[in-house]
Amino acid sequence: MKPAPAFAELAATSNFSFLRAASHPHELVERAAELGYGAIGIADRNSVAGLVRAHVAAKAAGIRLVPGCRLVLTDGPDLLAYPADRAAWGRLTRLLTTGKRRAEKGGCILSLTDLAMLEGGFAGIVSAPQVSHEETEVLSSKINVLKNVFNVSFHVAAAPRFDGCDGPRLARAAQLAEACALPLAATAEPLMHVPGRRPVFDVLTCIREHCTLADAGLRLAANGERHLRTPADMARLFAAYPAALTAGAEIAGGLAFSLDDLAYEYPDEPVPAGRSADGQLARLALSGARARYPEGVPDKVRAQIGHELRIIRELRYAPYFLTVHDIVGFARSRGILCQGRGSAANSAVCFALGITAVDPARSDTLFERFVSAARNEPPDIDVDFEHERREEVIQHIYARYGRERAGLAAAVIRYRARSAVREVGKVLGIAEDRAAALARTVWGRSSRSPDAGQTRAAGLDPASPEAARLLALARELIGFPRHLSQHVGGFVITRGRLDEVVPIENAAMEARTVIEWDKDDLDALGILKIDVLALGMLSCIRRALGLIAAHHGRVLELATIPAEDAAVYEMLCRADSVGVFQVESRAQMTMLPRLRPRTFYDLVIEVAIVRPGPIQGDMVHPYLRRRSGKEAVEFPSDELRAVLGKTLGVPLFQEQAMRIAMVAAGFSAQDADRLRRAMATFKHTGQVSFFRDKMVEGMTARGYEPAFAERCFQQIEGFGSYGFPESHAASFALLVYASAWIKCHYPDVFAAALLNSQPMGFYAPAQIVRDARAHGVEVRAVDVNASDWDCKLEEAPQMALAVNGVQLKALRLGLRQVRGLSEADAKRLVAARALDGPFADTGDLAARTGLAKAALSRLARADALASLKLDRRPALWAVAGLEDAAPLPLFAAAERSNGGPRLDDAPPPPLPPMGTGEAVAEDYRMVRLSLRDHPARLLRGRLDNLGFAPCADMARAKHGSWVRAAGLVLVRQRPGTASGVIFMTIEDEDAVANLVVWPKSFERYRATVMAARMVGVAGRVEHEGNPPHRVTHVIAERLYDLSDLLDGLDEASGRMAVASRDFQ
Amino acid sequence: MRDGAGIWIEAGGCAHLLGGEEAMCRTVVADLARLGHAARAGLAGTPGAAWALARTAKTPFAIAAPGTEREALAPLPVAALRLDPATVEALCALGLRRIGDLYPLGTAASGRAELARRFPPLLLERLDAALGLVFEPISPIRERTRHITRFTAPEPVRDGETVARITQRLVETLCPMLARDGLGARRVTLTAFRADGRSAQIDCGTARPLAEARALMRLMALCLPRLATGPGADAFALEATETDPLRATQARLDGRKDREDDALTLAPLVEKLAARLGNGRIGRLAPRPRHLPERAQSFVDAFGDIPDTPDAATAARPLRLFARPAPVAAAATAPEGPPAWFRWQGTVHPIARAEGPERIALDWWRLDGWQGDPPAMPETLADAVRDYWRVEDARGARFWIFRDGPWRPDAPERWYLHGVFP
Repeated sequence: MKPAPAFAELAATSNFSFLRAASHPHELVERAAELGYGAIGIADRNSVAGLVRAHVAAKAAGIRLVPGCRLVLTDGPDLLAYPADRAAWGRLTRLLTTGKRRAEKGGCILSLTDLAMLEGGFAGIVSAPQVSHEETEVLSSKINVLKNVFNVSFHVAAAPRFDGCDGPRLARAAQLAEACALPLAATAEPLMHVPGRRPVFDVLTCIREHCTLADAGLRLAANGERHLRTPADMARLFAAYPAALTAGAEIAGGLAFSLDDLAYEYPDEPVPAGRSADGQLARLALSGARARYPEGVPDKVRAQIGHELRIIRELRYAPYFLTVHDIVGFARSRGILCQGRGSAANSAVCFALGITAVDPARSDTLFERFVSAARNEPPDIDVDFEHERREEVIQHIYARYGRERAGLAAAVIRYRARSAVREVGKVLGIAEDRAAALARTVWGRSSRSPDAGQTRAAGLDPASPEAARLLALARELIGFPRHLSQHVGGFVITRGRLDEVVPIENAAMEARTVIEWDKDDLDALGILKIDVLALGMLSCIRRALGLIAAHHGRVLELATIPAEDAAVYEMLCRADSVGVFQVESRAQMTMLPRLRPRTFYDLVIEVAIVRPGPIQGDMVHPYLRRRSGKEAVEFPSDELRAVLGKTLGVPLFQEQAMRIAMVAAGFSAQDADRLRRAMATFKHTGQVSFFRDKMVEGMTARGYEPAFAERCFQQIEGFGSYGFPESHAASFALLVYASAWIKCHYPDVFAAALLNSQPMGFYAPAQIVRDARAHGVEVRAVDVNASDWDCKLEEAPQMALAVNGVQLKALRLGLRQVRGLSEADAKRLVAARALDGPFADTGDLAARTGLAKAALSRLARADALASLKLDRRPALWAVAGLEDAAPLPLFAAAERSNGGPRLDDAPPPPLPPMGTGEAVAEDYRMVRLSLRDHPARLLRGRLDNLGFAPCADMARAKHGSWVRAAGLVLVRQRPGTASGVIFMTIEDEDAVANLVVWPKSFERYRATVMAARMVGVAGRVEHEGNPPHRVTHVIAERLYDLSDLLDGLDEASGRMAVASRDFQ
Repeated sequence: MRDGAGIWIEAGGCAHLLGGEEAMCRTVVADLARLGHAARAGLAGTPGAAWALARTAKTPFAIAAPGTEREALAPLPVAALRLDPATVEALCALGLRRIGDLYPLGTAASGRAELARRFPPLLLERLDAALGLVFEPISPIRERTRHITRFTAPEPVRDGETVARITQRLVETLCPMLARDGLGARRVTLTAFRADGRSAQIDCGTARPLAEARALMRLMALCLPRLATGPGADAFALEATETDPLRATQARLDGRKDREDDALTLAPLVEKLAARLGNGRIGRLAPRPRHLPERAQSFVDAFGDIPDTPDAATAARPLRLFARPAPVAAAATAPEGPPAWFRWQGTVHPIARAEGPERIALDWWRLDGWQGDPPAMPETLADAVRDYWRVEDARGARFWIFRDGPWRPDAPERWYLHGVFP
């Protein structure tokens, strides 16, 4: 006798039915495998967002996944739909797309008539609600209409709820089934994988209903019975309907669709008629190479291109390259700066096509890092575009390929520690400020729930049951998806209709549409994605080049900036790098004087080295020691010298790790790539021993010491997932050099471009301006008679000469700096000024610009009316006295020309004068910086009394001596590597100081570290190196919150606005 | 005061009765302190100036002699003029932080015109009022009318009969008072002032507003025994401390009362019981939206409003629910199934029919065991369920029993009886 088929549960709901189910897709799959199910079907509400994760988990667990979807209709019962083949899947996704495109973000509107779009080829299950006798007829007529759609199989299901009415419920479901002439299916309709998830489920319900646990009443689950049950249990519950038990397995048997069937096809637009993709690619590559190397293509590069084209042809990736080339070409045609990054820069073909900028003739590229025949997944090209013009590129893609074929990848927004604590706190009814305080102790976007110390600091007793519940539930909630959002820039483009691969929905942003899968899902399915990313520095560089052309008469492109300029490297060695791409952070500034970059390759290393991987893998110190001559540079063999020569024998890059495996252990290129990928996931896949053995064997076979081989492998293992690809570092290094060159030679232009490209970078406008002034640039305040929206350059005959003998201009701050002034208003002002010349008085200003009083007050408070001979307070007074409606232009003009009484001719109002402290505070409040003075200078007397020395003294103090200093908090940073150490940067009127706060001190002074705007520190000074390349830190022993002193500068509102940047 | 945080007292001409202005202020502040309020007082010739002084004083009280308002107000912040926050912020932005800063502008006509252009009229009004240039009236609080009657006896009264007769007189005087104002009593307090200087009080609550003397007297008669007259009381006061508008009931043509209003017929019974047993002891059950049966209702005051009935649990519930489930001995036929019999109070009930199970899980947030390092779900979560069965025994009686905890093959089952169906 054939054994009965194993039970299959097809109606599971995962937490991708947001806030309605309490288990991750992989949890459901794994539990189903544990229970011995024959198959598991996941059907989320009007969504397939979780299916790929389930698919991957199912493969790992060895159980079959039946992909499906629960169609929630506006005018009918819930229908679970399972496509039987690829074509049916396409119809399902198109149906979902239709429903989603007509709804707001996150919604889906479907009615019974829409289901006709499915046509046929589906297995269906009607999720029978509690039907009364009268409703059966109506319902059965609705269901009968759908038999054409669900022509593979059609069942009626009812799940036990354990509410005392299960017997009648199942009986009525059986009646309904009979009335419709359909069989019954047994299902538990699980909303969680184990009953222990009930508390989380209740919390989700409360979040969804916006109520607290105490108010939820009957909305909470009466029991936790909606979970995956053992087959024996199901048999017991459906003992009266034995045929229903095998229904699930039968349904699964009739379906043949798996997500693996989603084969991917690249678009063929970029291929002209009559040519093949490979042919076209080859032509473009060769002509591009000739353009790149006017003196003739080097042999090495020619060979490399040939090699790459062979692999590309074999793997049939040519259309992908052509698509990316097409997009980049569009950008270039519009003068949008762009550059490829990442592993793609390993490709000579990409360089030839102009996608990347790393010259294979000068660098050592490894194509297999980018594309490998062994890998069964498409390449991943990330291209950075100017952040301000990226939208043009995005809309071009939509226009060229159409919204049915192009869409942005999704990003799953999940609960992290902070949001989880806040939401659970709200649900549990914990006072909002307590929960918020606890949430704030979590650093940034961490996923680690707060520990006992943090809980105590927030005013909650960690031992109390209240706090324990909060923390336990928050921990479970972390990682749950909340909703889908759009990915930063990952585009999916298909040849056929994209909405026949995956549903497309509306994004929150207008004119954007998003697919339901994120980039991990796309990778898992082998669907190609192009990352259209935004890089602020590209916008900044483009602006800078434009300003140089306009004001200094020198026309440059990114590619024609003079290379290898010693003055630029000297500047970087001094850590004079505020605003420079990638090397302006505190960590980089301390590394620059140690590493002392003198050539381009040094920059490549600089970019790669200051990251968790190399630091943890203990690469950085050996490298620096060898570089400074403290250690001898030696290589275990000549072949390794070839690989590690450029990095002095220390492996720093992923490609080097791969090459070591290839060269010293005899790995093939594909194997080496597998090694690299395994390194990134060692913890998960447990392939450590396999690769270790392979490497050690290979190396010993070629004559290396086994101990050495082991050490090599350990090193590689150490920085596996964090090591940079060299190509990526090289792409970035190009931008480092370019931005440093601009800063070195044209600091006026650099500052203007940086300010106009905000928000970006590590520093706030106040620091950019300070740095510019330190480099001799005169900075002029915002003024209605001189400023445009953007910051600009003006003539300044008295200024000092810059490095190369060029006369620097003065920087006029733009109206964009004024807090709360809209761009539209600013443009109106500028236009009015352009039309009729400078404004004479406030009445003139108001009349000609037509700005509202609120906008004019902002300008007055920002001290922008100085050219009207009005100080702040008289200016505000004048503005307040204007008529609300602008006077009719004709009358106003007549009055002016008649020499009629001008508003400002009235005697000045008897207003009290403004002190410097108040003025500085108001500057910070309205313009985010002050040209007048620094708050620390104004408080210098008080600071001296309290025993704090200026920050500039830190550099001069003796190593190890005890010092006290104070300043505004600029930056707080807690890098993931540094075992809980916090770095802070404080600034006073002349200098900055870098503070190091060890975890013990952090615990004692947590509130001060996290929230203070001005801080005093007492601790020991530590120096490294000698001037001028010395790096100084203050190890903080005690910290003082001096924010009150700041507030004291401005008595009126009592709160001085200083914002610091916080980094992970 | 409209913002509820202070009182204005028109104290003109009273100071000398309390020993002078300073002494008066000190007494007021001290008296308020005794009542539990921390107060500050300001005394000046205008309400505006007094407010400003009280609000900004750093000492318990501040006094401005009449005519010195200008100097007294000058150093105070502009917010003390009772302006809205936006105006205060605008003034501060201009550097006009103190009231004194406004004087140069607020006096000359041109300055005033400038101020009027820029700020709401309230600014000048308040300034002028505070300085006494304009009169600002204070509207007094009206006292609530009390419905109270008093009786003084020629000599102390002790015996119940006399007290009852006196009470009757008081009731007959009070009710017309109430009826005249269209009110009925909801709570009535009788105070007896005893010869030893103490006083005794009883109160009586009613279910509906009452202005009829006989009904009220009937109620009072029930409460009177509780009045402790001690050595004897020589003065009595009867007050309707809580009143509600009286609804007139239309008398039928045949003189009989309308039976439709059940509340009116139930109410006297409830009132009598409450009067006898005490007000808090009579109540009713109101449904609460909870899954756990013992939590699904709450005890509300008999005279209180009935809360809105939310959705109730869908399954049947017994008419009689035990406050505490009674343990019973029972044995189930099949695992997870209903019992075949159970024994309660010595009687064995063999079970003929059963419906269920209805699994109700206990409130997980009341469970212990969350603490830990790190905190986690309590291990008892899985066992915190009850499986309820509606059973009918061989004689046709119906019961609601449950098994505490899920069925376990090796653990003994614990069964309880929670309620009885009719």
